[in-house]
Amino acid sequence: MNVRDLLKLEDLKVAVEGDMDQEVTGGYMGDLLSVVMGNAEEGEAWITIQSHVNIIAVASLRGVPVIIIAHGFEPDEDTIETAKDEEITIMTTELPPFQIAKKLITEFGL
Amino acid sequence: MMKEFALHVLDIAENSVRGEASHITIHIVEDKQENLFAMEIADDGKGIPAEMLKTIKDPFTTTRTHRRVGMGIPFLNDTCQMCGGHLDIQSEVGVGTTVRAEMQYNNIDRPPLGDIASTILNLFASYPQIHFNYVHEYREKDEDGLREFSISTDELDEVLEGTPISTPSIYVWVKGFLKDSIRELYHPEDGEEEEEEEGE
Repeated sequence: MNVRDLLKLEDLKVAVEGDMDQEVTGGYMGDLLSVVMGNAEEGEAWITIQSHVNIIAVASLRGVPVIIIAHGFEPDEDTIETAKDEEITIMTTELPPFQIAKKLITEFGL
Repeated sequence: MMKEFALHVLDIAENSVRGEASHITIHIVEDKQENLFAMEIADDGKGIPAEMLKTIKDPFTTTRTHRRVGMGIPFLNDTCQMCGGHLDIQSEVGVGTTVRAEMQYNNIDRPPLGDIASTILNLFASYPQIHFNYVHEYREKDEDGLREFSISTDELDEVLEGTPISTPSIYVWVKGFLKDSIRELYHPEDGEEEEEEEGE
């Protein structure tokens, strides 16, 4: 599956459309950027509540194609701009992290 | 860990308010050259007894006993330590309290400063009886000195001639002033351009 396929879930809204053809191979969940930076794998959809620009640096470093900002938080303006430059997709959801993770697992078998 | 550092500023300043301070100075330093992100809040409130000061960073003593400070200080302490810094609290009963938080500017886990203009404005407007002083310093890499923006409620009161900051039109004006001033601190060239345009 690719990033675009995630949009079959109505809970997800696109905030920044990056390269949506990139493959999604799994998921990662975390809010402490240093831990995510050391552990997220290439191709994983990353669920977080962080919304500041450093998340794009982490995603870009680890080859994360899509960041899902959960719990109704919205990306900062410079996060949006940098994500566009780096072609990283940002999606948002009102759902808490656990709930959106559950949907990704049950709907897509991630 | 709070999502925005400005929330820590609000929390610590409100401790000073509850501590019956009449003067509160909030000092933010963003020094990329020294890789330092610091906040210092100094007040002339009633101070913290030495016994309480010893356990103030411990979350368990905080929740078990009813104290005037909540989880804010333990959270801030965690954030500082996680971001390669530390939290220092000096206090003397009857004299006041100074809380100083330091972090590495470029630490990946450091929360962003966030909407500090709104935080400062809300403090100014909510506690008109308190004399606030806000100082914000910033330095880019390889710059010689720190740039500075500072504003006090005494200066504002002089301009406003007694009209409360919470008056809607004044509130909006002060908010714009704070936001513009802090933006200029980061990007002085933008401010110059605007001034030039105004001059034409």
